[in-house]
Formats: sequence, structure tokens, C-alpha cells
Amino acid sequence: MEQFANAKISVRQFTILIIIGVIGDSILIMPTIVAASSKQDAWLSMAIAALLGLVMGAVFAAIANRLRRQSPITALQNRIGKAAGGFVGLLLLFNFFMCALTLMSEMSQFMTTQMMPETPVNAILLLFMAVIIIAYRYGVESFARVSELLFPVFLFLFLFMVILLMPQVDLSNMKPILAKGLPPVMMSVMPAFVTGFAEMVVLLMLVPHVAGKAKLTKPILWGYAIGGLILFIVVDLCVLVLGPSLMETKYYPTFVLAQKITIGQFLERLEVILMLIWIITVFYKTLLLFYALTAGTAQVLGLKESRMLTIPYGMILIVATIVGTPNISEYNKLLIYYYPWFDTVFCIGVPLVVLAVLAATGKGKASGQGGHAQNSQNGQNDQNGTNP
Amino acid sequence: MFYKMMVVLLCLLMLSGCWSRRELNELLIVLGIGFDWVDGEYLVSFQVVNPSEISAQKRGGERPPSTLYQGRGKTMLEAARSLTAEAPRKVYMGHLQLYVISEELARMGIGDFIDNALRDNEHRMDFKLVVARGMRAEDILKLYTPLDKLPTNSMLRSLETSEKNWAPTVSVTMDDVLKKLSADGTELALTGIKLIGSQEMAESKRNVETFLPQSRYRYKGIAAFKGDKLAGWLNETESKGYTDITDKLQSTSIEIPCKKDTFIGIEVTSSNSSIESKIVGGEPEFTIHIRSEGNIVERGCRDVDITDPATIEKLEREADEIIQGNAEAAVKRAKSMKSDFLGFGAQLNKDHPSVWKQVNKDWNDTYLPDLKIRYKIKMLIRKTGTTGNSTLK
Amino acid sequence: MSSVFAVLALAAAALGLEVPGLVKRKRKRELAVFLILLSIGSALYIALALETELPNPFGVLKLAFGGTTG
Repeated sequence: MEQFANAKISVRQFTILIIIGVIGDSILIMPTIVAASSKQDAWLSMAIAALLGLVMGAVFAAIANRLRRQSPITALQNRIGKAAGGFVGLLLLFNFFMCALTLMSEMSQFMTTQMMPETPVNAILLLFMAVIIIAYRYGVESFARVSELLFPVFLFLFLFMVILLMPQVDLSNMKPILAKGLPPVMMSVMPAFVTGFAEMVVLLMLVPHVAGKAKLTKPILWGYAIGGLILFIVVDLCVLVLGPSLMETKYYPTFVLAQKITIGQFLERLEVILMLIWIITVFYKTLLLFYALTAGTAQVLGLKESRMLTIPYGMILIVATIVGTPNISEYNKLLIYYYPWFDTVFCIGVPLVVLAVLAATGKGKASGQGGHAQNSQNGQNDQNGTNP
Repeated sequence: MFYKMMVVLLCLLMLSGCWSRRELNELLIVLGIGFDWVDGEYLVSFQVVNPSEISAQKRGGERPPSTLYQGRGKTMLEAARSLTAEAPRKVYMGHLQLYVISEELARMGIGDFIDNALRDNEHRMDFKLVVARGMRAEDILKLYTPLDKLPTNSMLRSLETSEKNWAPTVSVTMDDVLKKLSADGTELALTGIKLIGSQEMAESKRNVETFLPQSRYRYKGIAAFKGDKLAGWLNETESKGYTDITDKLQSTSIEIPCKKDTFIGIEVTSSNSSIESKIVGGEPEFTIHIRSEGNIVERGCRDVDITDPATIEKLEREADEIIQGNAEAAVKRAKSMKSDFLGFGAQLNKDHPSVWKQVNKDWNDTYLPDLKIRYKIKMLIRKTGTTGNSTLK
Repeated sequence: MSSVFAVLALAAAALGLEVPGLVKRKRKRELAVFLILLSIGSALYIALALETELPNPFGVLKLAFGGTTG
């Protein structure tokens, strides 16, 4: 069983994966975090965050376009040597690992808070991890295809929720607009921007598999735009239907939104069905991170296979998740105060460094740096001025 | 092959969701909760459904349709769990309909124990809260009601229906309570419920064996809060004013006197109100706009000619006055209680947040009592039923 | 104790699943990395099952970024 060296995902699948990844866990926890500081102006914070997200997307697109269908780690290894490239790769891997931890924490906390409070966290994590491992082992192509299948389901449920909540929208919940001025609004922008948009640096690891040679700017920007729009709509709904106090109080306001759907006293209690939305988005973002972690490790260490790393990584991740979130208050404090800085360094800083290196070692200087590229993810390596 | 087996086995693991399973016969479905304060701790009464009694198939009739279980404790959870010493199952809150708080406890403040309802994952936010007026919450939950076997159901429907059709009641759900308690510039108001008639009869099945039940519940008055503590009761006029100003009134009845003891009855069919805030000379001023439409449904005085547009106009003006009277009564009460349950402050915050920032702290005590309020009431009488002036002599 | 056995069983399953393939394809390096990671994973999991105090991975974050409030 060869590594999925030549697995190809279509550009559309790439875009869909980005959309689902951007929404990720933000849809569950962002409304609360954003409302904490900006209250009824939360929608404004989210809008600004989405716009900043587009800028981030442009940066990632710039990186992606220079990669020429190589993974960032491989590309760096080629251009600045295995050691330096490997080091940057390790930084990226560290980021993916931490990110995966946060996602799994949130997933397990959501399950045990709202749905199955008596189930031990271990069981939930094991099951979740098992599915991710299986998805990985089936390969990029297959989970990209499933995302294509699940995306309409997601959209349908999402629109269903939005439309059914329309009668409960109360525009006066938005007022007073900007009562306390811009600073509180800006304070919320940071976590929203970083969690949804900067963390998707993981999309760069998918670049080697995207079919064709075209530039990836459009799919990435579209993915960010649509994902950002959906997040914006969600935060809007939370403000307009729930009001700032409820949004800030409850930990999972989108769940409360779903609880609120009642049409003619007959269509009620649908929140369990709508949970499918969040399960899809959280699952995919975790899967992307896991993929990046595992495949990335193989790239950094120059391995030809990465499949066998899945189970060990799974175990390590589960243990780390359980140890890392002893209780929800500690986790929230971490998420709001420390994690944005981590994200800034690793999801914005490191990629910028990557971009700089790629730009500096661009055309004509690529490859030919002693040793050939080790990694079997090498699809189309068509740099000009190549091998001497 | 091995791999596929693993996948199949994993599907079995999906059943880990069954960890938290609770079969139907393990659920104690709570419909109503009553909170009392007895001897320094909470006395929580749970009115639970007795499923076999309300099933359509089995003929019951021997046992009451619901049962009351009570627990004591310093927190809601302690009380809820302590009743497992008596009850065969653990409570399930998913179908909670009514939350009754005793007046005594409401005066002490509801913020403390409400927190549990917010935090718990089984509670939904859609149950209604009422205050037991001058009596214990547990007594409200021990009533046999005619017509509806489940008393909480009856009380719930009555609350919703009377809010829509009669006015001096308001149905407040848990998330409304959260909003009102968290917001600046508006205070909570809950409806009061009381039992009329003998308490002893209430608890016995004989209550519903007579034509007119000896003991009935009745919603009476709206309780206005200051913060999370009950501050005072509004009478019927003031309550109507309250629901009118806060735009909750949909339909009610207005009686216009035309002779000494005879009235013309007007049914209000729709009513929209809003509060407008202005800053005049640095001071906030409010205008209450109420626009109602209605029909004449009873012409007690047969010498009033309702086919004459001039009469209609006259009746409209008189109705305006009555509506304004209700509103003024509510405002006067708010001022004297120093509790802004009508939401003037909140409106000021929405329209002029900068001014609100300054007056926020002393709003209830300093500014409210002297607020200048104008009324713009407009009643439009549209129809007179299916006849004009009847031919009755 | 049963959880320790469960972890060992899982590790054994992982070994059974991967090692034959790796050996057959003569991937020595991969095998080494796999074994190292698997040992780390199993050790951690067993430590967790025995309720030993494990360091919090987020502790690194707190050290690095501690003192800065959002």
C-alpha cells in the first residue's frame, strides 16, 4: 500500500474543505467569546474578523502559489536545506498538534456538557479519534469526496436553521450600536480572527494534492469568504435572536439557537438534528489538522509512509487532550488569553517567514540543493532551471 | 479483512452514546417546580406526571394525574436528589413547563436559585415563571383542575391565553428573565398566581366532582421586581398599563361607561406600542406611543347611535382616555416603587447611550420619579360586529 | 488495571496492524519512528490510566505567553 503520493483532490473539494475548516469549531464557541467584550456589537467584531481573514487568506494564497504543489515543509527542505526546512516544519507541526488539542477538547466538552453528560470523556475521544484515523487511512481523496457529499447536508441544515429562526429575529437587540465605542469591539476581533482564519494555515498542507497547476488564489479566497460569511451570519443570528446577555451567558449559543426553533408548536426540539452541522465542521477541521500533523511528520523525518503514525499519534493526542483540559474554566481562560498569542506567532508569524523564504528562493534557485527531495508527496515538481 | 472487522466493531462502539441513556420508564418527568423557603433552606416541590393516569388507553381514575415530590436542600441539586429517597426515579427536566416561586422567596431575591436552571443542560429555556401570591408554591402545585388533567398544563395554557386575550398577565420565559435581569434600565415583572377557595379541597379529587370546583387557581396581578427581589404588586389597571406599554398586549376588553351602570364594550384586536426617548435640555423625556384597533362588541346603552361616525369618534376618544389611564397608572406605580419595569432606561440606552452612561447609576432612585412622560394614544374603532344599531328596544 | 491492559491491547493491535507491512516493505526508518511514537503513546496512556500527574501541554503556552492578557 503505497502512500497516497498521487492522490488528487479537485479544486472544488479543496474549496469545500477550506470552508468547512474555517467554520470548524468557531461556530460553537466564537459567539460566546466575541460577545464577552463587544456584547451587542458582536456582529461587527465578526465582520471585521472575517475581512481580516480574507487578508490572511491572501497571504496563504501567496504561499500556496509559490509552492508549486509541494507541501510547505518539503518545499522549504528543498530550498534551504533539510535541517532548516525541518526546523520550520517542526514549528508547523507543533502548531498543528496544539490546534488539534484545542479542537478535540472542545468537541469532548461540548458532548459532555450538552448531550451526554454522564459519558466519560475517554470514550468520546476514543471514538472520535478512531474515526479520524480511519478517515486518514483511507486517504485524502476519500475524505475530500465525503466532504463534497456532506457539504450540501451542512448547507441545508444551516439554511434550515436560519430560515426557521427568522420569525424570532428582533432587530432592537442590536442597539445601541457602538455604545462603548470601538475598543471593546476590536478586542473581540482578535480571538475570532485567529481561531477561524489564521488557524487554517493547515490548508497549505493540502496543496500538494490539489489537481492541476492553476493558481490557488481563487479557491482559497472563496473558501475564506464563504466560511467567513457563514460565521458572520451565525454571530448575527445569535445577537438578534438571543440577545447579548443570553449569548454571553451560555457556552454554546448556537445550540441554544437550535433549541429556540419552534414552528407552530409542532416543529420543536430539533437541536439534536442540527448538531450534525457542528459535528461535520469540527470533525473536518480536526481531520485536517491530524492529516497535517501526520503527513508533516513524515515529511520532516523524510519517511516514505505516514500511515503507521496514525495510531500512536492518536494515543498521544487523546492523552494530551485529557491532561490539557482538567476543567472548563481553565480551558476557557487559556483560549481567550493565551491561545490567540500562540496562534499569532505560529499561524501568522511562521507562515510569513515561510512566505519570505519562498519568495527569496523563488525561481531559478529551486531544488539542486544537494540531495533530491526525499518526500514521496512530490507530485508535480516542475520548477524551471532545475537539475543541473 | 481484519481491517473491515475493526471498522464494524467500531460501529458497535457508537453505542457509547448509550452510556447516558435513560429509558422512558426511568424518567420522572417534571412538569412544574415550586420553590419555597422553609427553615432556612429551599423546599423544592416537583410536580411529576403519572403516566398511567393520563394515558388514553388505560382507564385510570384512582390515582391523581400528577404527584408531588418534595425535597429540601441548600441548593437546587441537593433538593432534587434528596427526593430520590422517596421517588422511584431521578427527575427529568426536559418537559418543565412552569416554575412557581413563592412570594416570600421572591422578596428575598430569585437570582440565586435561577442560576441552576440556566446552567443545567436538561432545562430548556422555554418554561414560564410565575410568583405564588401570598401563599406557598407547593400549594399551587397540589391542585386538581377541571378540564385539563395535568394542572401545570392548565396553568400554562391559561397564562399564555390570558396574556394574549385579557392583558393583566404576562407570560415570561426563562430567557426573558435572564435578559431582564442582566439588562440595565429594565426590571423584571412576573405574573402572580393564587388559589381561590379552600386549600383542602384543592388537593382532593372531589374538587373536580362538583360543577364549580371549590378551589381554583387564578392569575392575579403582576409582580414588579427591583433587581432580583420582588418589590410590589400591580393591580389590574396598572397591570394592563404594563402590558400595554411593553407591547405585550394583543387583545383585551375596554368598558366605556355610557350611563350610570351601563357600559359599551370594546374589544381591542391589536395593539402596538413603542417608547420614544428624547433629550430635551439635557434631560431625558419619553413619549409613549400606543396604537390600538378594536371593535365594538357590546352596546349596553341603546340610545347610543353607533352607526354615526361622530359617535365612533367620541368612543375612540373615550377609549383613548381609558388606555391612557391604564398607562398612567402603571407609570405612576413605577415611579413610586422606584423600579423601572417599563423599560424606559433600556430605551434610553438604545437611543442615547452616551446619556444613559451618565444617568445609569442613579436611574431608579433619582431620575425615574421625576421623569417627564408624554402619551400619544390612538384608538381606532373599526367594526361593530355583525349589526349596527340593533332593533332591540 | 483493566485500563492498562486495554492500552496494551491497543498497542498490540497497532503493532499487528502495521509491523508486518512495514517489515515486508523493508521500511526500517519508518518502523523505528513508529515504534518510538507508539512507545511514547502507550507510556503516556498507561500513565494516564494509573492517574499519574502528567504535565499539561498547554503549560508551555502559559509560560511563553503568560502575563499577557488578551
